[in-house]
Order: sequence, then C-alpha cells, then structure tokens
Amino acid sequence: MSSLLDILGSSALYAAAIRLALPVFLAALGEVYAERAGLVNVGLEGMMLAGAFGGVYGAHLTGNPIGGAVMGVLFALVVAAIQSTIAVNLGGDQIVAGIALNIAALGVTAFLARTIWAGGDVPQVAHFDTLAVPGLSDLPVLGPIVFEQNALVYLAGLLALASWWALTRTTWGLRLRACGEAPRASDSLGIPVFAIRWQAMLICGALTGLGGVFLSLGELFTFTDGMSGGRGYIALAVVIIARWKPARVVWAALLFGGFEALAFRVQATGADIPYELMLALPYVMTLLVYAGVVGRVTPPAALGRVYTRT
Amino acid sequence: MSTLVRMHEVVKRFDDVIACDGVTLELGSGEIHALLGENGAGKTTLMNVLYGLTRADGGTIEIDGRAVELSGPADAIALGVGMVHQHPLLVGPLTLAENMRLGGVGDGTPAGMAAAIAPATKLIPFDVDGATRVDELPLSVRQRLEIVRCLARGVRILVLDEPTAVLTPDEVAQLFGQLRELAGAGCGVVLITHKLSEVGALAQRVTVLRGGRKVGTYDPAATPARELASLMVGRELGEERRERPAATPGAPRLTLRGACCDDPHGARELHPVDLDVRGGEIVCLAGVEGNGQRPLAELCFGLRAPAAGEALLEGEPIPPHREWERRGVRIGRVAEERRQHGLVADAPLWRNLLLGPMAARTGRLVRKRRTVAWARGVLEEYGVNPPDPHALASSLSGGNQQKVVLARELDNDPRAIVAVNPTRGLDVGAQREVYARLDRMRAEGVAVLVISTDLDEVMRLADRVGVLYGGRLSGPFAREQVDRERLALLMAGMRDERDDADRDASAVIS
Amino acid sequence: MSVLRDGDVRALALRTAVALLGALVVGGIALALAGLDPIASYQAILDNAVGDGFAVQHSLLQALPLTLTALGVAVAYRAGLFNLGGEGQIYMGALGAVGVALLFPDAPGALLLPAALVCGMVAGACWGGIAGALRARLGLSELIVTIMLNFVAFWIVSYLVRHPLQDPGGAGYPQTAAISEAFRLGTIGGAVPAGAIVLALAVAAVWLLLERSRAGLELKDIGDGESAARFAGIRVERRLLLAMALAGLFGGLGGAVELTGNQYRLSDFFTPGWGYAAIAVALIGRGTALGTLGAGLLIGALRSGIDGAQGVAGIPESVAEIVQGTAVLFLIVANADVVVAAVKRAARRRARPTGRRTLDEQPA
Repeated sequence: MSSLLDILGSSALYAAAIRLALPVFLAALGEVYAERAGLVNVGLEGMMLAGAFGGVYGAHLTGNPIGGAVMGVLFALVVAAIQSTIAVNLGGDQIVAGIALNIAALGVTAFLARTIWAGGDVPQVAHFDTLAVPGLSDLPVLGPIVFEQNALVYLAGLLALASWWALTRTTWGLRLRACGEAPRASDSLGIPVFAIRWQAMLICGALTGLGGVFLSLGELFTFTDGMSGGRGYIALAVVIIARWKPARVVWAALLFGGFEALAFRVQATGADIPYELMLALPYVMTLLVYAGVVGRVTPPAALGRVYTRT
Repeated sequence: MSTLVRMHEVVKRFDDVIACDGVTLELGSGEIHALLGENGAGKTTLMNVLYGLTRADGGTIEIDGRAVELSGPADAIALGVGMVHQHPLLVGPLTLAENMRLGGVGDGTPAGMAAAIAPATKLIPFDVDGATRVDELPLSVRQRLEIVRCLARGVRILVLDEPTAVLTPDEVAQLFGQLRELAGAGCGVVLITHKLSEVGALAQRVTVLRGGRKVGTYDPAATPARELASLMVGRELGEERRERPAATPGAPRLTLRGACCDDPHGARELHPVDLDVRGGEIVCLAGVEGNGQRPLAELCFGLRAPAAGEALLEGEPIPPHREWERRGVRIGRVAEERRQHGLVADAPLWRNLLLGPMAARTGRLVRKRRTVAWARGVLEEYGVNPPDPHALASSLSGGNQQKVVLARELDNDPRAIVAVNPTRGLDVGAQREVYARLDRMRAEGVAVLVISTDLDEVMRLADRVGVLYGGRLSGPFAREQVDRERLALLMAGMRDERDDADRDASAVIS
Repeated sequence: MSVLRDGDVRALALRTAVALLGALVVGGIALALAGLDPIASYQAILDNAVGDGFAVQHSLLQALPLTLTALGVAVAYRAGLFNLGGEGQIYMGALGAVGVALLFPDAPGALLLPAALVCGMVAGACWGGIAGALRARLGLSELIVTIMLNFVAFWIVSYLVRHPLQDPGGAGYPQTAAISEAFRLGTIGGAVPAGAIVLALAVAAVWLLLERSRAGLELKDIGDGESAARFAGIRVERRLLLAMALAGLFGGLGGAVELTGNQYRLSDFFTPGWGYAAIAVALIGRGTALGTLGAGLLIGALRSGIDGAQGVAGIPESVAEIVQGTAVLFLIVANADVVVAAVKRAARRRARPTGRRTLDEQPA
C-alpha cells in the first residue's frame, strides 16, 4: 500500500500522464486550427471514435498498425467533411451538428463493430509498441518519462511544433487567422475563406482521428463502444485554457492527463484514498483552471458565426 | 482618356428583388466618376459586381477593353481593381503590417511594410507604425490604410463607397485632394455617394441610379444640384418645406448637467456636457461618428451612469435602465443598431413589441390572444407592412423594422425620446415617415433628442442644434443661428468666440 | 438559433417528420448492411415497442426519464443554452430521491414519495444551477461545464454506491439497497406507470412557462436575440441561471422518477445514456413542450422496441443512436441558412413570377 508521496515520486506516473493526455492533446490541437479559422467543432468525440474504430479496422485488415492509423484518419476525415459541409457550405447550426455527429458516430462505430466482428467482441489487433529512443531514453528522470513512449507520442510532439510554426510563421497561417477574426474582410481581399475553413476542419479531423487511433491502437489494442469517453468535449475546454496556442495545449492537456494518471495509480496501488473521487479530480481541476482563465482570453472574433457570401 | 472599365447592361437579382436592372457604366483613366443615388438604389451592389464580391446575373464587364469573368475578389484584384468599403474591412486584432500582407503588400513585418508602401506614400502620406493593432486606430486612419494598400498593390481602378461618412470636413478635403492626385496619375476613381456636395466638388461625370436602374450620366458642372436631387429621388423635390409650427417648448425634461464619461482605460470619452431638452422641441446633436455620441446616448438610455455630473429626467437622476419599469421612467429609446439592439430578429413582432417599455403590459402570465390583438392594432396604427403580429422581425424591410421600434418606444406616452441615427439605411419614403412621427411627438409636447451623423437630417429636424467633436459639445444653438458651413466647421473642431456667446439664450438653465 | 418559427406549425411538423423518416431510412440501410431485412426488423421493433400492453408499458418506462430530461434540455435550448448535462442531472436526481428513501425508510410513503421526487428535483436543479451560475457570472460555456459535471456526478455516485451507500446485503455490487415499497411509484389501474402523470404535469408546466409566462418569453427572447434582449432591459444573467436550474430540475426529476418508478435502487450503471439521447429528443422536438413529448415517446418506443428485438431478431441497439443522430443532422440541414434561403426563393418564385421590388423593400 503506497502513500500518495510514493506515487508522486514515481516516473511511471508521469509517463502515464503523457499517454493519457495524448488523445485530448491531439483533439485540442486540431480544434485550435478549426477555431482559429472561425469554426466551432463540437464533433470531436465523433471524430475520435471514428479514428479509434478505423484504426482497429485498418489494423485488422492490414495486420499493421500504420495501416490502422491511416484508416483511422480516413474515417475521421469523413466526419470532418460532413461537419464542414454543414458549417461552411450550408450555414447550418455548427454546435448542434457537432453534437448530432457525436451521437451518430457513437451509433455507427458500435454498429460496425458488431457487424464486422459478428457477434463477438472486437479482438486485439496489431498495435503500436513502446519505442524507446536510443540514447535519449537513458537520460535520468526525463528518459523513461518522455522517451519511452510509443511512436504516436513522438509524432504528436512534432505535430505540436509544426502547428506552432504553421499558424504563426506562414502566410497560410496568417490567412487562416484572418478568416477566424474577420471573414468578410478576408473574402474582400480575395482570400478563399471557404477553402481555408475546409482545410482547417480537415486538419482538425485528421489530428483528432489520430488521437482516436492512439486510444485504440496505442492503449487498449482493441475497440470498445464509446471508448472516447468524453475526451472530445474535454478538448474544447483545453483549447480555451490554452488560449488557442499550440504550445499551451501541451500543458493544458497534461493538466488533465496528469490528474487522470494520478487517479489510476491510486487505484492500481490500492492506496487509501477513494479512487472514484480521484477520478473526478481531472474534471474538477480542468473546470477550475477554465474558470480562472475565462474572461481574460479573447476567442477569435468570428468564432461560430456563419459566413456566407451573397 | 482611355476607357478603363465598361460595365454593360449589368443585371443582379436577389431572390425576386432586382438590385441592378441593366445598368451601363463607363470609367475612363484619369477620371473621377460619381455614382449617385439614395439608399437602396443599387450603387454598392453594382460596384460589388465590379469587385467580384457578387456575381452578376446578366451583362458584361470589360476592363481595358477586354471582357472579363470575375469569380471572386481575387480576380478583380489581379486586374487592378481595388475597393475601399464604407466601414473599412480590416482584421482588427492583427497588426497593420499583417493586414498589409493579407492584401498582398509587404511581408508582414513593419520594415517590410514600410518598404513596400514607400512609392504609394508619395501620393498619400501614411506614417503609422506597422506593429500597431488595427483595432486601435481611428476610422479615418484605417480608411487611409485601405487606400494605401490598394495603391501599393498597383490598383488602377479605385472604388470608394461613401468614404466621407467617417471623416470630418477637413479630412474630406484632404481625401479629395488625394483622389485628384490619383486621377492625375492615370487611375480611374469611382465615388459612391448620396451627397450632392461631393459630386460637385470632385467628379467629372456623375451617374444617377434609382431603383436599380440608371437614370442617366451627367456633367456635374452643367447640372444644377436641385436637378440631380430630383433625378435621384424621382420627383420634384423642393427643399422639403417643414410645414410645422414653431416650437413652443415647455419645461426642460431631459437634462445633462456637467455629465461626463470615461472609457474603460480611464480616458475621458465625453467631456462635461450641459444640455437641456425641453418638452415640445427637437434638439439634434450633429457630429462625425466616434466623437462622443455613444457615451452620451448611453447616459440617456440608462446604460451607464455619468462619471461625474448628472443626467436627469424631469429633475430626477435617470436610474439604470433595468429599474425604469419599476420606477415608471418613460424615455423612448431608438438605438442606432436595429439588429443588435432594436429588435430580436428571430422573434415574432408581437413579442418584440413587448420588449422594453411595453413589458409592463403583461403580468407574470401572458394572455396571448389579447396581447396579439393589441399588437395587431399597434402595428396597423404605425403603418407597419404587413401588420402581422406573427411575422418574424427579420422578415421585415428596414423601414418597417424601424416603424416597429418606434411603435414600441413611442406608444406608451414617453416624457422624452432619444434617437440615434434613426433613419440609417432607410429610403426617402421611410425617412419621411420617421420624421413625421418625430414631429408629431414634438407637437404633443415630448422632448426629443436626436443624435445624428447625417447633416441633412439634423437640418431637417432640429429646433436647436449642437455639435459633438472630440467628446465635447458645442451649443446647442437655435436653428436660425447656424448654417451648414458653421456646423461643418464645428464638426471639424473649429470653435470660435461666437459659439459660446450664441448658446441659445433662452435655454439658460433656470 | 434555429428554433420554432412562430405560427408555422404545420410546415415545421412536416419538416420534422421528413427528417425522422429519412433517419429511419438510414437505419434501414444500416440494418440491410448488417445482413438483416429492414422491413422485418422494423416490424419486430414495432411489435416489441407497442405490440401488446406489456410492450407499451416498457416503452413508456423508457420514455419517462428520457422525456423528462429532454424537457430540461429544451428549456435551456430556447434560451440559447446547451445543456449536455442530462446524465449528471439524472444521477443527482436519483441520488436525491434515494437519499430521502434511505434516510427515512420507515416513513409513510404518501408523505415521503413526493418528498423524494422534490429532493431529486432540487438536487438536479442545483447541479444545473452550478453550470448556470458559472455561465451567468463568469461566462463559462455551459456546454463544456455540463459535460464536466456529468463525469463528476458519475464518480461521486460511483464512490457512494461502492462505499457509504452500498447495499450491505447486495453481494458487493456497486449499488444501493432497494427502496421500500412505500416509496415506489406504482401504477395506475395496474398498467400505466404513475410516472406518466408526473410527465404530463411536467409537460404542462413547460408549456405554460414557454408559451404563457413572462419569464418564458424572456428566455425565448434571449435565445432569439441576446443583445437586443439585454438592451431592452431583460436581466439576461438571471434568466440564464434560471434556465439552467430548470434544466437541471427536469433532469433530476427524470432520475428521481426512474429511481422510484423502475429501478428502485441507485447503481453506477443507472442510465443507459438517457442524458445524451435527451439532447436529440429535445432537438427533434424543436425545443417545444409538446414537440419534446412527441419526440420523447417516439424515441423511447424506438429504444424499447430495439431493446426487445435485440434478443429475438439480432438487431443491434446501436441502430437507435444512428437514427437519433441522423434525424438531428437532417433537421440541421433542413434549417441551414443556405437551404432555407433556397427554399424561400423557390416559394416566392412560385407565388410571384414577375415581381419586382426595390432594394429597400428587401428584408433588411
């Protein structure tokens, strides 16, 4: 029976925090693109589930986790395309569409799982194993935490860096931000607002789908109904806490992942703290930080508002 | 002078409304061409077609003698067309340099921007730090930014949509000088306006649009203003005679005494104002947008308390608006933004009529049938078309929407009325109805305060006129004591000794 | 906000019916892809939903918590708020009800059954009120907050049913003891669950609120045009708090009715996702009292029918989610700006083939 201090001192806790934070991180990173382009995408759950399922299905078909990852991203892109059509082309209610997509995706993925593996549970499939980075994984303290994760974690790190660069240092990023702040002005300058918003949403879908792939192929090695467990919604809070900046998304996601990891460690090591209440902690902490941050952050000015050219 | 642009028989329809009905327009290089018409005549739509923001349903466009197909602003920009909109279309939170970059000028850094706009600034001086956020700049600077950006991109056809609405008369003169220089350098300039004075001052040719159709193209030097005006409006238009009796004002009803306001940063937005609006008179406050109108209106609307001084209704401080119903405070409020503040767009008219002053008509429970019947009566009385209480506010035209707002604000016997730009976006017919309504209130002894950026409106309505500039009020003066010139000077900040002496002696606070 | 366009109930009902039909067709396609005969499947679902008295009763029991919670979602939606916290509010409501029952097990039911329901409502209202307060005072998105609170509620209940409130004689399952007979919402005439009365009253209350009370009109004004409502003097923050508290109240009532009328004990698998399904129900019902009732009964019957047909005809229960989700998607599309504009254009062209108006007569 270990004490809380023992747990806090173990590197396994922090390594777990990174793993648990990853799906939320990827979804939030994707959402940063979408929201800075002016779109509110509540359908992250659906995209994540689609990615998780697609990952397992792809791995099942190809016997290879990379094939799974590709399939997962594709499935998520389908959801993103529907969301884009409704939000950008049709001028429909984005938030309700996102919620509806979550419900539909929940049903469709569960349905497909039942149908493809008729009757039984989804079997374990080829998955991503832990990949220790040679040399770096021998570093004290940081080594086992950061550099003994699976490939998707490293990929996610690179994606964070790439996202920062793309959004702040490229013309495309500037235009994307302009679309989110003033779509009419952007349009009048000849910036293709619809096209850029589509791109942002598709990137969001791809990243979120990747997060879902990590859930299934990186953690559980299979698919279970509704396995995204609300992380898509958590990501929405993370984006706001991170003030729509890719770098801060890392920390905000880790906040959530950290508390979740703590709760699981407590449960696993049988410590004398009710683990159920610990599991409520990530949500409470996220809420508290969200409350502390809101009012002091300015979202993109045109966020959530329909833009149509007459 | 070679022909730069030829728009031939352009047609544009929105649903079943024909915004442009076979309009033909020519623009030569080195020419300043005015496009004249009232609100809704189709001027902006026509230029939006030229700029690629709207797709025409019929007709052709030729630039430099070649027919072109414009699928979007990008195409028009590539052909050398630039447009400066009525309210500058810029991306607020981004910097000047970044906005320039978005328009294809410079690399997004202040240094790069300065280099890229150097040639253009010879024509139009522009010396603002590229790292400033656009939303921290005043409107006139933003407008100049748009023009410089167009020039730096090598625009040869420049369209300006009502550019003078946000400028003081001095800045207008400056702009006109710059436009003449531009034309001199070979550009073609289209000036969209509804102001006759600008046509005469600037344009070589003027095309008049009315109801989507071209009435004709004229030489401003050879055509008297009165004729252009009646062509614009379609009927013989004398200086509209105000057949209304002289004001017989009663006691002061709405009073501001040393009232001033600060903005969130602590800077003074409204300097101490002394103003009395008496029952039975209309006081108008003229001024260019952004000179203190908003804080003053908010004081009268009960939306904020003065930082110092008082705002009074019949001697009592105006309480915060949420207490008006309880305390029986009756001030009719006609806000500037109809969609934002005037009406709940997606709600039916009967519910809209219950907002604000009329809310007291219902108790906790609502008798729907009775309320709807009452609503129908009110709509009919105020000439709303169609007088259907179930129609959604968003389905009405601008003029009818404003009638609903007036019905709601005026119908419960207010002691005073405060209106800001009450006829913005309305055509002449609707405008006249609004003015008639306000005259009627005046005749019934209500105190009316109108804050307007439209000088014509001020001249039409006022018994007394004041001017807001830089957050300070000059006047109010008796209508007979001022003319447009004097008002224009005041709007540009030029006070002289006469102003203080002329403050209407009969308005002394007793 | 694409809510009820005033007065045009027929067109609205038509659009909703079409969307539902379309969703059922999509469900049928899914069934076909699974190798099942869609017609036979729907037949089986129908039989299991309303085929006999027992089926109807079962459908009603499914519909009760679903519809009650959906009423809560609907009230919030009319005010422009997204209450995704149905799950948490159900748990809290059930907790409130079971708390009363467990604290006073020997009290007379006639007195304490209503008390249990009221307690459930209060608990739910508080839970919703937290989100409302955070939105009103701090501007936190209620969409995010209610989702977070769902998880918090779940874990609180999870803890309680595994430790302090765990049924001592229950073989270690994570659930409370069953409430005594006295507390149970029985049936009327032996057949109809008494919860139906509660539902009827709730629907009437919501209708009264939204259609005939000043508070309700203000809520709708906020939902239809918040800045104009604020300018007109409506106390927006107060109304938003009220809306969320009411939303939670109905969710809590849903939980309490389910506890006292069906499950009789609180466990951590208490709700099969009613909170989320309630969102679809409220949206399909367009946020109106009667519409929500209709949609709730329909979806409740659908879920119940699939539930029964699962064992018999092998119909996967996820079909219910597919139908719900696609129904809402179709509705969104039908109400999308571009689509509505196109439909209006076509209608006007039919009515007025050569009409012309000047630009100013154009809707602003």
